[in-house]
Amino acid sequence: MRATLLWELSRRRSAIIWWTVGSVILSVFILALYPPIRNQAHQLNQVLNQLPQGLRELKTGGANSVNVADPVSFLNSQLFYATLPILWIILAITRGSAILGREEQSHTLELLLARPISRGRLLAAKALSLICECLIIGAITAAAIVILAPLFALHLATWRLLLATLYTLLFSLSFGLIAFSLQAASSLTRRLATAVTVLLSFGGYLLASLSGLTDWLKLPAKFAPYHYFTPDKILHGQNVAGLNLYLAGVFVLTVVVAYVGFRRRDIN
Amino acid sequence: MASIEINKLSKRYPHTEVYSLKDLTLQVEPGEVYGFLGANGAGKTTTIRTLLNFIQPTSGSARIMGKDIVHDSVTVKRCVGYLSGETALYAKVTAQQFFAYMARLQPAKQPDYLAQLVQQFAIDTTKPLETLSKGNRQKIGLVQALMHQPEVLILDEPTSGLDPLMQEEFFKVISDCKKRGVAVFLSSHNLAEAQRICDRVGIIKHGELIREQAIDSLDLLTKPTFRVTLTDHAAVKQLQTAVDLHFISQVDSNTVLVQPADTIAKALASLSHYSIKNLSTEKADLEEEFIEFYGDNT
Repeated sequence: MRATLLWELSRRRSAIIWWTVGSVILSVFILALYPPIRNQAHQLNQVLNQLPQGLRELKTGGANSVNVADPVSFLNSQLFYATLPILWIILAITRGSAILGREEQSHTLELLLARPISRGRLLAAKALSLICECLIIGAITAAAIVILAPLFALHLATWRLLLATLYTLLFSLSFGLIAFSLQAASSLTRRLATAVTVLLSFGGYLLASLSGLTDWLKLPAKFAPYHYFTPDKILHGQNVAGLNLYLAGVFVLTVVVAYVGFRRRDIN
Repeated sequence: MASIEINKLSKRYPHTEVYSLKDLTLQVEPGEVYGFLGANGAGKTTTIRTLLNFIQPTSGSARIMGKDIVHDSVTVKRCVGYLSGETALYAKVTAQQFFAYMARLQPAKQPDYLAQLVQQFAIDTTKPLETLSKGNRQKIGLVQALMHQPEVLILDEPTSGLDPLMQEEFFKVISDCKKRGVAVFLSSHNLAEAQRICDRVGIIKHGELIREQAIDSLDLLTKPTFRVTLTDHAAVKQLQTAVDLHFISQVDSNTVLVQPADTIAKALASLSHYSIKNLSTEKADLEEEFIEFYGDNT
């Protein structure tokens, strides 16, 4: 298992570096926007709060109003609710569906399964490599945010910034694990697993964000993962029980589904 | 105890009515090289993939070194070396990195054996695998199957893409393995190759083992095949029952494939009684001749 984990990380070395650089640059760019935005907060808030609620919530989640002068509101609307998770969800889904799917497609999976390694251990090694890859990128991005935020007058407790980044990462990773388990457990191709998970994530994002517009969207929105993703609450230090439950559920369910499905299925 | 014991093994893929493999029963003894022969789609690769537990059997069972291929899959693979028919390799890494990874997954019994194989197959271990030709990739596939010195070798079209020199090296390695008591199960299209290295062959057609025999009794199949075009199509019928000729098939109204029933001289003498427009010999090819020879008679 260790050999496969290290092999995966070693092969992904340059991709990890580039994803990390991209995440850090994007985060720093957004943090650097805070001082000039704060200076024009009055006008910007007026513009933002005059937007239709649905459109506003695409950037802010469930927040009723936006005050970009407030560090929590700024970080929630500009970094943690949409920008960073969208970037990381793309990474997690593409990796989640490819980590086994690409090997199955190119038949290199047979090289591994012809060795004395159980399917369960192989699956665990692959899932761990996905988690490790995301954690490396997330940890370095979190460090950059924590170190650089005060330089741009974003004075928030370090642990809140760390938690917000960690939850954003775990939330994004949950889609990677869904794609991974769909591909591992069934004969779904890599592209189909990606398509299903993209629909769940970004469809859910639209559904959850627009649910404030009409009442009939409120019920289906509860089935969208994004409904439970509330970084503003994390930045305020509030309890996010719904998000914790969603994450625990996804992590347990994907592990069980992937293991049970992959253990005995025919390799394509 | 046989190294490979297959007992009524069947495989039917989901959503299909046809069996890709039906009631296959065979055994391969230690030190025996068993050639598994058949046309494309006959069920050779399905058998191999089932033995490796990549796909689940629909019914029946198989044991390798006494262990069940499904329930003791991990234990089975400790003693198996496998070469896929696709020779899939990781693109961006070098052979050296690839072999190191394979060795970490399954440590070699003798670490210097890998170096010996690399030298024997003249492999450049420093180039990325994606830059290698099909033949060179095949060599790497062979080495990864052999490097941990398994007791059982399962090889799908092992000489595909190899040049004649490398084929010779491969035959030498298989010969060494045989001396060590390794059981070799290989699929092939090539009759000459089967005759060269196999002790026994099994012929599979439409998922069923239609014949199994020792390689010595394959002489008829390795005789030349004559493609005879007669000037008069009425003579075709006479040729079918001619003495000293073994009729294989009719290609068109005037052309037939025949083989010498005894010696080539006798066959040519028999053919001399006919008015022949064209006569040529054909390379013994399993897909076209071997299966055609057995046809539906078996």
